[in-house]
Amino acid sequence: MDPIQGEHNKSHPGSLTAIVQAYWSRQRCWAGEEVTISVRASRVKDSAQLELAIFPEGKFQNPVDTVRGKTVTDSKLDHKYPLDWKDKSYDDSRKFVIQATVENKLKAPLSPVLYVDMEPPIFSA
Amino acid sequence: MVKDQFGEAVSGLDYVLTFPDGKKTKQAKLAEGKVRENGPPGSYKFALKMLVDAAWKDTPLEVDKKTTLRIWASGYDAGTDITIEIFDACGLSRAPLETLQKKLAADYPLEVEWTPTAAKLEKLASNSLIFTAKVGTSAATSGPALVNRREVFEVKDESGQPVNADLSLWFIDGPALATEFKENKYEALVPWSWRLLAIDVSAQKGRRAGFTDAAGEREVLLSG
Repeated sequence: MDPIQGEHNKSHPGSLTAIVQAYWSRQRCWAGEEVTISVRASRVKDSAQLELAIFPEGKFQNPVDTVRGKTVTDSKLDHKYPLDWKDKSYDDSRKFVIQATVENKLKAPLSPVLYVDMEPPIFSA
Repeated sequence: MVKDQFGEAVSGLDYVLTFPDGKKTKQAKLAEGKVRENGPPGSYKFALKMLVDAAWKDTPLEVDKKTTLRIWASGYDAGTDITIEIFDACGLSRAPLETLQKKLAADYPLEVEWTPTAAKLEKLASNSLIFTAKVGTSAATSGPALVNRREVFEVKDESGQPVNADLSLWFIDGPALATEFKENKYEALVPWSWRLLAIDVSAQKGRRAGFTDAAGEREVLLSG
């Protein structure tokens, strides 16, 4: 933001742009493991309500899970998240992204992908 | 009046107001988007104290190649301490890979040169880096920057002479993104965490070849 310069006792409009980003702590993991969802914000006030929606990559109609009631403190949040999706619907998806939203209006860009291995590996004889 | 991108008045941010005579306010916070100070008539200059943006100047990054971290700020005096932390993009909740202590310059943006070396990236699990800049409670986080490393392959015959072979490099996550042949050597830029899986040498199919990389010497079967 450039400095605002002008006469006293007059209104001089200025605007700020808040920014938020979300990341997984892993690139790949097993279903059932715990990962950390990290959110980093700029110019977002402390105590701002955060919603973390987890979507299959490319399918943004219904989230697999949504974390609510978290807040940003000191411009960040690190939320430990167990991938306990036994009762969740994710079709045949294996790649998942986070959509973070602040105060129901400021949306972060989609996070990088987390690849989740859903089944145990099959070894050849 | 200072508003955010949703049209709401901003509160709680530190600001500095420069009076017509050049005097500056100290320790003042914005309230409901407004500034209220007593002073003489004239032209005033107002700036919020904050880090505005943080970005890598050159992406993708390359191991052992100098890059520049660029940070925009407003309202701070030159010489103000700034902390820059460089993280694995998948390790924001862990300790930074490196911490730099700098001072803000009189002119923005602040540009800090930094070189990603293999030693600094030893704990990098993903292929991307992020940096966060902090002054007091104000922070700005960059976007992720892919880190590539340059791999050089040289094909020689039994007598040690270079062979101009048609070569394709396959890594665990896919083929080399770019392969360049110069002076009898193949140079490939590959993401940091990718590991070599196979070398396709069509003309030499079925032969075994010695191979040396960071893990030591080994033998591979050439396919094609």
